[in-house]
Amino acid sequence: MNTTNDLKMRPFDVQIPNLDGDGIAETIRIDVPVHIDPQSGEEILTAAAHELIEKTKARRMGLMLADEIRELRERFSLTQEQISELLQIGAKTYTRWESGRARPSRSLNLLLCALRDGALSLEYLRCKREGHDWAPLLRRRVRKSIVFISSGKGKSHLVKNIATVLDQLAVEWRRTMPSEHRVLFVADRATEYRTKRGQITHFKSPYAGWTPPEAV
Amino acid sequence: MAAPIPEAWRKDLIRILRSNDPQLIHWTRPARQIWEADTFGDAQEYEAYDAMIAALEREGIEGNETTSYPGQVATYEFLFSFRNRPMYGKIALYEDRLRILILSAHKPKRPNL
Repeated sequence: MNTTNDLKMRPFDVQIPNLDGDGIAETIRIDVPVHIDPQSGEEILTAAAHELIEKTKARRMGLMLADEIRELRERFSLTQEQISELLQIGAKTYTRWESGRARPSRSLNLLLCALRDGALSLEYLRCKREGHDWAPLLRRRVRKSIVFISSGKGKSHLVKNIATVLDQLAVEWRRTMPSEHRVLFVADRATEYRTKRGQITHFKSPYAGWTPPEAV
Repeated sequence: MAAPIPEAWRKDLIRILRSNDPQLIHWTRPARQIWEADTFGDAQEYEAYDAMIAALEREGIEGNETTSYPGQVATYEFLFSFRNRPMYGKIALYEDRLRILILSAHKPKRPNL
């Protein structure tokens, strides 16, 4: 139906909803490609126009884009059905996210971002899906983990001896840490790192956005 | 005067709307713009389609046939419910019966068609 010759750019006001979804928080004007119907003179949005509108909205609302959602799933080697199970949503809904035909709500987007950034684990999602108590699993996870903390002097240090915290919940441990220290990362075994004299010289985490800023 | 919308037209519309395919479901720019404003940018296109499907699945749903252009088989206006609010829709079915053009999807300007 469309040919490149009859495409025109026309303005379109993308509305950004407020948090309640009952008002407009912001309007962003963009130009979108339209096809002019020769018979009716109607301006018909192209598929690219729809995509542009959705992408503009998603970016402004901080929502993950369709490609990013697919990449996240592939990083964990999950099928669409498996990830929708873990997120406790319908498989059809998830498929729509990946195809770009729908976008996740702000709350679900937050969950996806947490998963992408390593702030939420698949293990936790599995645990909640199966209705298990997370606390015992968390203790086991901490026991398996290596903890990086910052001394507050501009360098990250690897805490080799974490025996004193193994039997506590991570939350309790954080509360009792010396005030000049802060947790940078609780690395699991998927993390690659090297240290020299207690300082981190190489750090590669599978979770985006988790490289300690002081690390090499 | 509103009259029952022909079943063949409704069935074609339902099938195409269910596809949620932007290659098959076209919007005019004004229609999409007003939909955007009337739903505060919060509604997604597939939600409009689901709401229209729910209305068109009702036996005896009434609508008015309006002007169609060459290449279109029939255009109907009808009311549908979106998030418990009435909405006005006007859609043209193309002659290939595979594609539709949404000409209107917004809050009704009158209580009846």
